[in-house]
Amino acid sequence: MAAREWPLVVFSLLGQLAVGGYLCLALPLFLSPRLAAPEGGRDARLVLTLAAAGLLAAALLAAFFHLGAPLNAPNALNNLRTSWLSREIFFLTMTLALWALLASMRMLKLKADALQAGLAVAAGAAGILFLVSMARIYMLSTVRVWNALFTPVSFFITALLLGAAAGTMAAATGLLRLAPVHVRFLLLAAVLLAAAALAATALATPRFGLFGSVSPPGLKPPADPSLLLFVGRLIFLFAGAALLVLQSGRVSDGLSTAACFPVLAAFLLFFAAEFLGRFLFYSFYLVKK
Amino acid sequence: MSGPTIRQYAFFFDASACTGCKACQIACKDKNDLKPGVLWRRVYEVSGGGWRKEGGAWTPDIAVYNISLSCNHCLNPVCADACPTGAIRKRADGLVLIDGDLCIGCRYCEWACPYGAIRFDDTAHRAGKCDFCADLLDRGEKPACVASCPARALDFGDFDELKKIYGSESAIFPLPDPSLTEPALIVKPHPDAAGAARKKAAVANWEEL
Repeated sequence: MAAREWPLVVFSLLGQLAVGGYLCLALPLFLSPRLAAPEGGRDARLVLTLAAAGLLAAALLAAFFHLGAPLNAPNALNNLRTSWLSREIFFLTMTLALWALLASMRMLKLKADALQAGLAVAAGAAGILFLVSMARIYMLSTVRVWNALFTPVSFFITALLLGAAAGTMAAATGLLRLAPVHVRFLLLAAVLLAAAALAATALATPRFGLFGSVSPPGLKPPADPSLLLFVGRLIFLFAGAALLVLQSGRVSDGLSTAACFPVLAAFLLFFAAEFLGRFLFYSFYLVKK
Repeated sequence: MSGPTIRQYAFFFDASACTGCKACQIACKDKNDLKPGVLWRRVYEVSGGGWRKEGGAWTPDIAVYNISLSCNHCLNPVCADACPTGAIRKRADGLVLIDGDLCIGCRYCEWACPYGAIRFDDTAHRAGKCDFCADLLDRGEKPACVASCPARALDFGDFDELKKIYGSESAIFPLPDPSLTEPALIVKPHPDAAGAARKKAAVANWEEL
């Protein structure tokens, strides 16, 4: 994979973490304020919305480094009719705008819970459409190795796994005070999603997976993806999931402080796994030239 | 840019006549003043095979031929559908052209084209490709690649007229399935091409391309 594709690795991972984190953490709080932290704590909805917006803005910034002519970037919205890349940027902008609106309402302490819940659902829908568009960009009929169910499935698993794991980490490290039921849900979701990621990786990863697609000979230089990245992703996912399973006994009234370091390590392992996976994903088609 | 009233320009390539001299590639590079590493027309050297035992003797069982290829100005240009800026458009005469002023250099068109026709220019920071020498066509002249071929392996013209002369074959190993983009291309395959996939033939000159 060429160095010029690095911004895409950063963009796609941060974008997915932002949306996944919002869906797993912030959206449930907007829909059920009783889940929010006990009175007296920080406004979890504001903190989480700002964090998601910050991550998505950072992702957008990284994407600029991929462009040959970044000053022409506004043109990226010209072809919503047929281009999934245009649609991706459109839904990213919508998501970011809705998050900014929600954060402003929280900062101004506007008492409009129903309106905020509606806006939060709209932001979640925009975020999901952003992820769908991102996956469809790669599902080109002319690129067999990417045009497979593996692409959208792995993108959504990455988003939700990182989101759920980030939530467990935030709760365990004391960054956020979440309701015990929410923490238990996040922990269970992270373990199940890690299991799903392991299965999808082992079965459907192009070239290396049991049923993965293979590129036919063609007019593009042959790609040379590394088996080491594939194996590394599997090991990191397994290790992260194992660490979280071991913490499951420590969740009764939220996560105990003893779970802080294992849960933090699990999140870092998952992030590293998805980083390797994304690098591998681009290596299946894009070659250094 | 005004063009003649023709429905769809197309290229014809005779793989059985091509010697792989690359005069077409050089003529294109020269005419368009392309930077090092950028080729709008490329000559792929396809080779593969091994030995076959016939009775008591071993004989070569190989596939070796060349394919000269540029943008095929497809009837279904996936590059134009993919481009987020609308910079890639199909002209009334079928030519698929890039407006460099709109291009953001995202390279998505380059990914989408299965023929490797779109090339990113690291100096101009924009995507570029064969424009069929539209300026020469407008003056009633031949594209530079066609004019330069010493073996007369390249021809061009209206797609329907070319079909009448050369037939309608547009597939030759390892080109992609023509149904994906409907290329405005007619190929006369080299005799070796029929068994090329079985002989595990592949492009052999990637470092030049």
